[in-house]
Amino acid sequence: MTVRFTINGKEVTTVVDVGEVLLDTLRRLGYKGVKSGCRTGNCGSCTVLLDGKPVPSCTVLAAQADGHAVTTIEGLGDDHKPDPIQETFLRHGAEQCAYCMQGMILSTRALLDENPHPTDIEIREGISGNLCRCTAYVKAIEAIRELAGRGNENPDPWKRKECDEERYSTVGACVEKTEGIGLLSGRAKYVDDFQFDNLLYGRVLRSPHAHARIVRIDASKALALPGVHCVLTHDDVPQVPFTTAGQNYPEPSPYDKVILDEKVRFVGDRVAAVAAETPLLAKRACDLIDVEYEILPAVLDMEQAMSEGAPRIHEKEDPRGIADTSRNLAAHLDMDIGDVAKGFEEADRVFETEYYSQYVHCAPTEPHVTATSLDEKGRLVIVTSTQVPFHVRRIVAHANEIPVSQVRVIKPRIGGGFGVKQEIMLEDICSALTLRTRLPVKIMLDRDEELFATRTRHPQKLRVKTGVRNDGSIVARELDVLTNTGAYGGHALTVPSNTGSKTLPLYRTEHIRFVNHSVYTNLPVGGAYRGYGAVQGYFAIDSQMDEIAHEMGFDPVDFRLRNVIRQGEEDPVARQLGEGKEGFERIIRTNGLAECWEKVKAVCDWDAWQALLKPGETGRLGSKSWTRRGKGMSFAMHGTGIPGDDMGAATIKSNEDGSFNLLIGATDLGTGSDTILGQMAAEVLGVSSDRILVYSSDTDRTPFDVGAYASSTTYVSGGAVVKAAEKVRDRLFYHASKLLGEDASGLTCSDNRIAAPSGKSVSMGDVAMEAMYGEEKEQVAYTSSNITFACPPPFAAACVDLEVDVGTGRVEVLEFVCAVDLGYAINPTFAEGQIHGGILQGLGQALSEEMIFDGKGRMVNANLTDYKIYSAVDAPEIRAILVETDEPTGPFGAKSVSEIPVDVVAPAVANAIFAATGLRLRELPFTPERVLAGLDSLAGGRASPGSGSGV
Amino acid sequence: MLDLKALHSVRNVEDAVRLFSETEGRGLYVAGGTVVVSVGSPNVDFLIDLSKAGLDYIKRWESQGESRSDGVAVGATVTAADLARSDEVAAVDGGLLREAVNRLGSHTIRNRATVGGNIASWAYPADLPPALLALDALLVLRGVNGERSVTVRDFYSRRSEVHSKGDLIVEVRIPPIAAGARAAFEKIGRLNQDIAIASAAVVVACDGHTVREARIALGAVATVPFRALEAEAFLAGRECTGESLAEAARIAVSGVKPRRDHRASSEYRGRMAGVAVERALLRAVDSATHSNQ
Repeated sequence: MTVRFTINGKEVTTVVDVGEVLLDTLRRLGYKGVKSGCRTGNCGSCTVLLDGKPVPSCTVLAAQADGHAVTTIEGLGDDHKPDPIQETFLRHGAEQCAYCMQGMILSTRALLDENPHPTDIEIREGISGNLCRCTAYVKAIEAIRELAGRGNENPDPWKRKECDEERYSTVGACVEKTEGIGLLSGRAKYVDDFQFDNLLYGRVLRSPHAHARIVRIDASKALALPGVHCVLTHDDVPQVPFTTAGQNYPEPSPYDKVILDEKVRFVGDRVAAVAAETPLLAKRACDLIDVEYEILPAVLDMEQAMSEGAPRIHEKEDPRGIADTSRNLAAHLDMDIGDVAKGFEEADRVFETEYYSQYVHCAPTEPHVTATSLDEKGRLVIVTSTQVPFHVRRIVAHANEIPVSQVRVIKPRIGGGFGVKQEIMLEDICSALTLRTRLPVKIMLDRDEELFATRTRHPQKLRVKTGVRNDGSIVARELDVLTNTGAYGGHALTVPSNTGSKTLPLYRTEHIRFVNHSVYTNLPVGGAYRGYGAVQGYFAIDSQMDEIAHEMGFDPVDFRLRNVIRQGEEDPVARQLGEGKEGFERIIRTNGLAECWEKVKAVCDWDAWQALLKPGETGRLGSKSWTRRGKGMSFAMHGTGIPGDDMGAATIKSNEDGSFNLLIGATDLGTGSDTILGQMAAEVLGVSSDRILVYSSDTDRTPFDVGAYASSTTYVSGGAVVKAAEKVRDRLFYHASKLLGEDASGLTCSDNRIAAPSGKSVSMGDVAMEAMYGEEKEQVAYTSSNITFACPPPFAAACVDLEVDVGTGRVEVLEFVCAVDLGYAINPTFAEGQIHGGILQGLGQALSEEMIFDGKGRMVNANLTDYKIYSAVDAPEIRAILVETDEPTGPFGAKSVSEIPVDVVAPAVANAIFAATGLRLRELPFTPERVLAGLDSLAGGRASPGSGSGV
Repeated sequence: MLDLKALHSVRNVEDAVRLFSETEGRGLYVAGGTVVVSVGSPNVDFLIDLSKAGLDYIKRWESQGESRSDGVAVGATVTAADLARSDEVAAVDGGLLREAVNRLGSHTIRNRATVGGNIASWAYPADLPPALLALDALLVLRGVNGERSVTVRDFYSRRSEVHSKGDLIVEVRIPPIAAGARAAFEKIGRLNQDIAIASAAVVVACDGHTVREARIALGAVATVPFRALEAEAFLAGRECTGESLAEAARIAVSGVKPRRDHRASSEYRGRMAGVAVERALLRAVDSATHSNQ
């Protein structure tokens, strides 16, 4: 049918399908700033203005737009004249991956048009339809306040906007993103925005059963459908075992997966794959594949997985890397330092408690999406939303039995990752479809598939036993972990390894024992998720620290600070517990934890609050008669890269005008690493950051990098950038010395010039011109790689202020304050953004997010209506504090910042709920229903009185 | 992309109802699309789009109620956001619908979701139906045999008698609440922006500290929203104290078997219904008694 409407003021007539939604029409017409995130009206990435009002364009039938005016992000300004909202957002660093930002900016436009001076609550309401998974809306709200003419009313006094000018000119400054306004104007290209001729749409048929054998599979009806090009089943693809975990080679994860198997191991597992000319056809084709299953008994409980007679989930003989297939044991860890039994004997008190951390999902705004095609030489080109392009290249080549040389992987802009895009989720099968059809194929996961069929944080049951002396020293600690890795064992060894290695060193302990069993179940698959095991570990350990302090009458802060690992000490765990193997010596060279706490304490009025409490009083009356208010705190340390494993490389080449190409394998997934690495190059080369042209994450054109995981990029890849930049700089000094007639050894560079001690100087452009076109004629270019064994830990302290509604059990967070010792902030705005986003994801894990399964292993809340992510009206005030300790092993003193904020959240919240109500919760998440049940049992089984008023 | 055979955009309700009758049970009305388009409907081949059917009006309606003051008629495709924006509506309903809308979905969803759709989706946690019940609102239905009006209460409690498949909700008529009466809406969810685990809408009129009339409606608890008539009767003529309101809340949920789903157990949902009623009553009474002083 034909529809006529205006798009950004331009009249458009177009033919649409009857069931087509406006989102697809707009994207087809080239308005690619309209992003697809959930297709259920929840995420708001597809927001457009319909007659001036923001609406999710996925809920609008294209035909319904007939006669109306549509405004997309493309209608809001351009490179030359951005909309003031875009400029202000960029200046505040409101965006990270920016996939949600096009929609949020349009909502802001509509808000300000209707109400030029919104209050904070009105601002939050105005953008409540735009879910952001990277930020916590903090900087967007700051930006909108400024647009509303309110400026920044409560500037945080500790904020550093400029770099330490005594030492640096670019690193440490709040430089705007190199992608700049392109990211906020809809022109930055994500995978789904690439155009291909004769593109086919791929789709995976997924298992409806938790555990079954495919007896027969008949695709003839699907193949008979006109427009269906290909159906692949397990008979059509190489049966080469691999792991989907995008880790360093050799991956410390079992090779327990093939592209398509004759057995399915969880609801959502792959059965077959289809390529067809439209997404709808691909869906219909999947529906027409006739599969006969032999349904097998399923293991849906990790406790039962290792029990006698439990069904075996992986049966193949001798699969690489599985600890024990007969017991469904994917991985096992056992570590002893000293003798815990002796330690517990020496202790005055021994505490033993058990904690549970649930299934949660990274839920990036952009689902997994991959497009594969063959280039003119017949090589496979994979454009994909990944954190690990080089691992993708290696693993896809291996799984499809083609040479690495025949694969090129390109990571364009991507819409968030947080760990789940460290997995090969689509690249292998999408490639198989292209190799079979010789045509371009794109697969973009539906939101429900993203949630139930990709990767999750590993659920864990953690038993912590701690022996303490009456003087408050910790004699012994045993951490016994049961990890549910789901149907496959990606990261099944290394995630729990980090549960121990990241947490056990924080508090000095004489005797340590750490045990882990990672078991297979017929449930969704564990993987990498920001925090990587440490989140579960800290929930247990820093909750228990509070419990011990309470029981023994210690001040919870003093008790922690007394035991915290000190600067100059060696981490005793690191040497034993490496990345799935023995580790390396790790000396704590910088530890800013005490300073972190001092700053947090001041901001959250900790001492004043404690002084208000009478002895033995738990919490105080909150803002209503039925609420109780309390504050809780927690500490954490984390890592920076994987010692001895992570390698990043950088190439820098000079251009004749004094600009430089920085080619890096490092993978910016929205964090701003392209910009940060550019800042580092600019600093060393003495040029402004706009002279550094960053190109990243293309296996043909950039040097190797392991990718974005393990809080490594700034530190590991940054180290490579510094090394390469130093070589380029020294070579340019050589050429400059000829122009200046001075000795090269005394030269310095700054402000785009190279200067001699005599005061003579020459512009970088002239030097580069001399190098390229002078007598010697050379391309000044160097590649350096960087690997480190130091793994310096960032430290963090946090305080949360919250209210518990004792009538409903709901926990409302009023404010979350977190300080991170990150060594040095290369870009303070981005570093704060990492803290904000990490805290909000942590709050989701602590309070609202949970993958829920029915009795058959089906996820029942695989949508953003019921997988509860914080919107702007739910997010509390979050305050990020940067503490700088100048780490000697890091580039410009930097450590890491991206993961550690998640670590502190769950224990702080648990401790605050205890402070408010006396209720100790050990099972995540603290949903209202769980909190209320706890309050009931606290009251001795009686229903709490006056459920409404609470009085 | 929906897998459809046809989409009919109608200009009036007559065409809508006639086309529906021709779809042989494979049709569905659509307006805002927040349910039909986003969630989809597997057994639907035909959609009848009402967005151009002229049902996006809010106008005066001469109610037959004892107050004799005018009510308001709201066309079925008025969006939730426009309903909340309307001072005409707020003047009649004491701001109850505005409160309910402000807890309905997100800002962008409210710009799409319609009054008629919120009722017609038959979703048990829907936010507007309990408010409409507490307001004693009427629905104008259009079927192949013409137009009739039914009370919202009958629409839910005697559905099979008053509603047949294909009936189109054309308009919602809201009589004014009594002078001095106060309304309140409470919704309990896991986060602020959430599907209701329980909701309550109340309208309370007081003489001094004595309740003259209370209307209490509960949403999300049972298969359909309902009025807590016994609790209403209990409160009538009674002094407003914390105890009497708590008792009314208890009565309101007694005998109800709350639904169980992945959002809440039956027991928790039942308790939350009580909490919602009590808090809504507390707020309405507080406001009503203050306005008397």
